[in-house]
Amino acid sequence: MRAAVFVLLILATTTLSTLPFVFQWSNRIEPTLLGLPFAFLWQFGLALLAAIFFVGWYLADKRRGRLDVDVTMGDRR
Amino acid sequence: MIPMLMIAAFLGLLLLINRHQLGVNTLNDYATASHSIGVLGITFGFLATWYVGAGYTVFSGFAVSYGMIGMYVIPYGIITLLVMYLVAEKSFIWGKKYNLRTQSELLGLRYRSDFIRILTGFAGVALSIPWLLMEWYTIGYVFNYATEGLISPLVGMVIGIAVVVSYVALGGMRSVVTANIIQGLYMMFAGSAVLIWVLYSELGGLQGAMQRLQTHAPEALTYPGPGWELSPNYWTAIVLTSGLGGFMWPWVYNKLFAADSIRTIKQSVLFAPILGILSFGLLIIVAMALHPLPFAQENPQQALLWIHAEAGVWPLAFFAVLVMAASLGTVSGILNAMSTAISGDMAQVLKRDISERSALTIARWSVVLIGLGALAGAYVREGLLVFLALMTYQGMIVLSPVVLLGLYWKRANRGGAVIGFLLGMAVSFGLTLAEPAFIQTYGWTPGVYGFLITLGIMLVAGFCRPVEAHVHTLWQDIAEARGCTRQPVGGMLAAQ
Repeated sequence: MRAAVFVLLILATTTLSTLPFVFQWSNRIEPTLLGLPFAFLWQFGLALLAAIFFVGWYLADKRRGRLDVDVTMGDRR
Repeated sequence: MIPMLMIAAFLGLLLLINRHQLGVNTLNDYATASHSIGVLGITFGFLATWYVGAGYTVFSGFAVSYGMIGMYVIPYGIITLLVMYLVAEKSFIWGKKYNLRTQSELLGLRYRSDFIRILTGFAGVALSIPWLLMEWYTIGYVFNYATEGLISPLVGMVIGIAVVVSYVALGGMRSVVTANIIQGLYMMFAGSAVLIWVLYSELGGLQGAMQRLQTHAPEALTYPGPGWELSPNYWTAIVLTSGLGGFMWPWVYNKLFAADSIRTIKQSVLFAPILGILSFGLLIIVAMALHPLPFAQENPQQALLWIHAEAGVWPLAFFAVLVMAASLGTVSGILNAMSTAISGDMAQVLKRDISERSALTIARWSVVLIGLGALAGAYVREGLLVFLALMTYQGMIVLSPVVLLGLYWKRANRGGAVIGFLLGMAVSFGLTLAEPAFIQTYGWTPGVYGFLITLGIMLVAGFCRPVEAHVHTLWQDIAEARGCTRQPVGGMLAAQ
């Protein structure tokens, strides 16, 4: 369930960066920061937001002990 | 002379560092490094493999010509990492329990089908060929440019092939990842440093370059860029196609089987976006900053090499090594994946009694023969290579429902996967070659239609038949592993 929340959050960031009508809204020059147009800042910002969600997801997995599963290597099938 | 010496030093360094990794004895070690690679190797392994050398020539040329559209790599990278995070756990658990080596073997296990294993193995090899040829071409081109014509493109390719083939054939995945760490570290730190140097020394810095763009070519700062009429749907399509297809490449996916733990893979996902966004964003900004310059407009694919040459012999040398590092990282991964597929997913499936040692010999000779065959890249037109390489993404996206539904939906079955994959590929490549008018006017790339066909067929087929019996056992494997109970050696398929 927790994984589904993070998948939805990350999908939301990609939706905001790709869905045509949202993308068209962001596809403009003003406002700028350090000379970079808003179209760039929007893509960078959403990517960084997604990176934060990945960190949250990782920490949630860590807390639930999902990172250190114990599997013995088997024979080749 | 300095660029040539730096390239020679870089190639020598790769061989020197890899000299202890060359004693591989089994195909399993050759293909997966016996599941021993840590977070540094997996992170830079993904980055060095994923970043192609042509990204600094052909694909940055798009940003030079059209500006903002080059940014599609940023959202596409996020989708690719999401796919990586999603497939990591099950691929790792089944990979380790059943001692899997390739993505095709994983699919063969999940759908209990040798046909799917061979089919996807063959598709992975075939679709990788244009990328291999394009990367060889890039290596030859960079050698030629950096030495001011002293080394011909063909000789440059031969040198590159000799180096990569030797460490891949002898050292397998362990050598590939060791080299990837060197290549990735160079790309992230030395590569980024030289791009920043050129941005400030030649292009007036970030604000100066952006100001010049705003004054002379403001249309380059937004989609679709100067002189292009494109639907916004095209942006959506290239992000989705590349994002879903990006992690389906066997040379990228197979690195999951080399990881020593799920923790390693998931930590790599955390590091990769930051490193990727910073380095690729920087590359696109420098490429776009070149847009107003007449030489760059006329020679977009050569523009980055040209501006580094303008900055001096040292920046050119550092940049040439950067392109070389990216190309070699991709090529080594492709060679390892292709040779493993030929040996493990084709030869050993068609002839079951091939020993591990013979399989390793087949894989090694495959690397040599593929390397020699790829010299053909010198005689293929660059435009055709780019067209073929871009077309392969229309095929890779079709594989994504087969992988993702296979890992997350119990009802996904063999019939749906086979028919869906074949029909999806037919639709995708058929539309690419036929180029009907609606592709241009609506904006979706052919791969999106192929993807929808595959997805639709797999969903229908999944609801038409009950869940296949072996799937319950596979899901039980995951549940048991999550419970941290130790698994019996062998497992379901060994007992069949």
